[in-house]
Amino acid sequence: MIEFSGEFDSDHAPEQLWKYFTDPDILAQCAPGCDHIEQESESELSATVAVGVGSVKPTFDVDMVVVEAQQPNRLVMNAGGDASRNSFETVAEMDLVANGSGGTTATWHAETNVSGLIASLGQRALGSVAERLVNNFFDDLEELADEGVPAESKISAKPEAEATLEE
Amino acid sequence: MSEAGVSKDVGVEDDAESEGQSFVGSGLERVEDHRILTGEAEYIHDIAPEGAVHMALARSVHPHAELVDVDTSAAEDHPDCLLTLTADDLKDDYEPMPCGLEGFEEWSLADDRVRFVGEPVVAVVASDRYAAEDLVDLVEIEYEQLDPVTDVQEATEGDTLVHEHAGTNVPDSETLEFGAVDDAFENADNVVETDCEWGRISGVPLETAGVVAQYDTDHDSFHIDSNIQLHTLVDDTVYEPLDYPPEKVNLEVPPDVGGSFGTKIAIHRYCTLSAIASQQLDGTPVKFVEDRVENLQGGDMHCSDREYTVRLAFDDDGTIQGLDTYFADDFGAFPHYPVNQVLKPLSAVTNAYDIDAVRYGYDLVLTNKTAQTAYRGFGVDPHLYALETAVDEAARELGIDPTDFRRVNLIQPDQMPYRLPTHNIYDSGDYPAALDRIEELVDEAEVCEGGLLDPDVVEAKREEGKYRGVSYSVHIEPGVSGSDWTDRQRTETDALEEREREDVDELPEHFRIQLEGDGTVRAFLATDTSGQGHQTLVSQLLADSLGVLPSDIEVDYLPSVEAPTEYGSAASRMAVMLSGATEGAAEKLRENCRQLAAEEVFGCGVEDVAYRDGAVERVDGSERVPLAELADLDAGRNQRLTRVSYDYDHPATKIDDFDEALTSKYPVYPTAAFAANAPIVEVDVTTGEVEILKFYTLRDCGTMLNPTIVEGQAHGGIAQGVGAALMEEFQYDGEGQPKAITLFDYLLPSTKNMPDIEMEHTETPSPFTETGAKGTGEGGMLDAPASVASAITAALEDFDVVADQIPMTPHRVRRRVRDAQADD
Repeated sequence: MIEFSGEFDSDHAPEQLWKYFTDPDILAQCAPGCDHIEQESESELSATVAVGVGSVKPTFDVDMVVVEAQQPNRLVMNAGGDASRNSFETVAEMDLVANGSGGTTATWHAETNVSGLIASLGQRALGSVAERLVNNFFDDLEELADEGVPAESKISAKPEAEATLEE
Repeated sequence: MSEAGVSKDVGVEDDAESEGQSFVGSGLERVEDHRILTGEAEYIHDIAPEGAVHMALARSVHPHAELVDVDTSAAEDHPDCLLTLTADDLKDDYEPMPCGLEGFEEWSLADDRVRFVGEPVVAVVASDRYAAEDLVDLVEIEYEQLDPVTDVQEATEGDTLVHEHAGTNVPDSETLEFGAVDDAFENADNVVETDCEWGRISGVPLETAGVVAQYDTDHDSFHIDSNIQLHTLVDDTVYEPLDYPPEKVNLEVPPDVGGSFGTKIAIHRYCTLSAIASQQLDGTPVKFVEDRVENLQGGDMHCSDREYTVRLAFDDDGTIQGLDTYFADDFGAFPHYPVNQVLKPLSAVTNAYDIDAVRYGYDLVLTNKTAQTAYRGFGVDPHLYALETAVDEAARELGIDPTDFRRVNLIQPDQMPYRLPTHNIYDSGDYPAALDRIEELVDEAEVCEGGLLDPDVVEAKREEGKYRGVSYSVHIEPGVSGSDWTDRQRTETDALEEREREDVDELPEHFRIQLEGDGTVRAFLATDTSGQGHQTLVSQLLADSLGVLPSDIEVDYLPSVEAPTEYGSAASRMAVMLSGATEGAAEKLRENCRQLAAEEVFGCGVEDVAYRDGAVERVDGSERVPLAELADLDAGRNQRLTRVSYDYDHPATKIDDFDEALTSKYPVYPTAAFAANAPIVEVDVTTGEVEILKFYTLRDCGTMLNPTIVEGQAHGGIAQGVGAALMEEFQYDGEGQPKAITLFDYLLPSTKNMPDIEMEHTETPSPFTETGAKGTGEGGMLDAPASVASAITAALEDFDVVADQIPMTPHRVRRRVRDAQADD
């Protein structure tokens, strides 16, 4: 299991940011390598995401389940994806806390299992790649919020879903 | 090429030897090398029948999972797809692969469950490999992941089972006792206990495994070209899964194979799958060659991965009274055939030491990793390493020089042939002289002004944090295994007790020669070759014994259907077995030529005909008939006298002293080549890096049939030994994902890592073999890791650090030094 975590500061208030983090169309625009996101239900999303780690560049079919959505502070998702010769599963959680100056500090943490070539070949680069991807995601999202692109919260937590790496 | 380097006459005792010159014993250039170096060698990849199609495999990404659904429909719908195969397809018409232990069933494609990353699940076939690889991407496999078990300790506890029906992850374990072990440990003045580890290391041949298989619809039979090793011995692993009798499955090995080192013995999965695919495609030839990732990740080719506990009982004067070894061997997901790899060390259990009491225990442990196969050394290399590590600890405990400690315990020349407590016999050798000589060589060249071990230099280097050390040790290389042992090992204990000497069914080495009309002597090996230089060896021996030039000799190979079941090229057999067979066949041919000439040309008695210098002549010298003319003279006879075959019996079957071992479970290796090593290492305690400054070695493999080949074997073996000692390892992470699936992570030694090797040879002929040769195909890999580790231990004496893990990578060295410094 690999753990990732980080922090991100936004100029926007948690209530504002929440709409962006829970709008699949916004997520699709910001998530690096994301071709499209389909909303399957209130709490389920599917996506196609290409990731390049070193010499391995799989395209994953990703399924995401929202297991916690405490507007506007806490979002937890399970995600898993399969690609040829690779697969992964992850639990990602994010807390949005208002900082003193009207903005938000987002802290995030993810636990991930990777299998296949991406695990064997990419392990060395995985940490830095993940960090870069997440930072790009936050930067892009912040930019959309800065521009005032309309966003609408469309997802909620799946009842009785648990955040776990074991299916 | 010919006479260059002719140095000596080993004395072929017959009339063929007339000029006092011989090719045997000379460094005759290898006849194989010209075609290899000019790119004319034909490897498996060069076999490209017209219309051949290509197979690719979808492999598991998980170390342990239920196969919930295997969906090949998208691949099948693709216009490029010719065929897909899953375990369900195989189960209709075929059989599972043979396993190394009873009670385990393994299909060529995973059935219901996957047990290691890289395990093949689906085979797809397309017109070219690119298309086939793309089709693999269209295969959808749904897994239900299970907890993997990757740690030997955890596996032994058995909470997660690799094979549920087995009820345990330890399907084989045993403790064998020889002599009064408990007494030895009770009565000895001292006992040390050493724990050490040997990492998952194996051979990485330049050429990966490959197959071209074709089903013959007219004859309902198969022709399979593959670079498989031991093709006449392990052909059952191919025809049994196909569910065909042996005569319907012709297995052929290209004359050139880019290395095997044991790792291509168990590549039958690929042979079977390609053959099945060809049959399903009505005889279209199907080709498959592993890519490098497949080879390293899931190619069934890793080797010994052991955790040792060794106890030594010894007196204050240094005499070792008892040896007690235990190890757990991480065998991976299936107990493949080399289960006797855990027992081979019994054939050299005390190495070069005279120890009467030995306990030997092991657990064979299954985990979610790719299965083990054979690798150069066949499990003896970790044993020698563990034993020598314990010896170093014992010497340190006593506070005496490790070389003196070793010297005290060496088997003496007057004890030869020496019978080990485990019933194998060392044939010949003077180990004390070898140890003295290697020490003398280093003393004279290095422990002096300007030398690598000049005390002033050693001291100055220490100031820079660079610690130099050397270790002198002698190592035994057991050679010439027999096939019967494999059967004995799988025999139940009760049945084994009733076993008689006449039940021993040992495979001889089969060899054929025939004379051609143009005077060419054509020879046929019944075994495959993977770089050892068999053609050269046979050419030299035949040139001498038939009085012809090596260039007059052509050496071919028999396919599996035509050849008798043979053991083949493994266990350092061929120098002994092939030279014995060649000598026997040549003698028979000479006799036949005399008879033929007497009856068909001279019209005289055989006693009046002599064979001399590649021709037969009347003893009075009046008439002479060259070989070329003899070739057709027997065409009309019932029996072709110019075609002979000969079977050379395994030497141990001719020596009564081996009977006890041959009737019980113990390995018999009737030749004991040996090496005295003294690697000089420099350890940078700041970075943990180890550099081998020079590798001194004195080697003895009995009669050297071709010194160039002997030297090459030693150089290659030492290179692999250096890689094992310092760099190579197939590590897995805690989730069972392999961490070394490219050569970026599985580090092989290169010219940059290879030390200068100072090599000296002695020749102590084996009294047990026809030519005096001893097997020497595994030396270097067998002994270099133990020697290098011991030298590191010597270099780090001040820190009290022991090189107790192979490979000793920089971070492992550094951690031990740091821990030692923290303790102070």
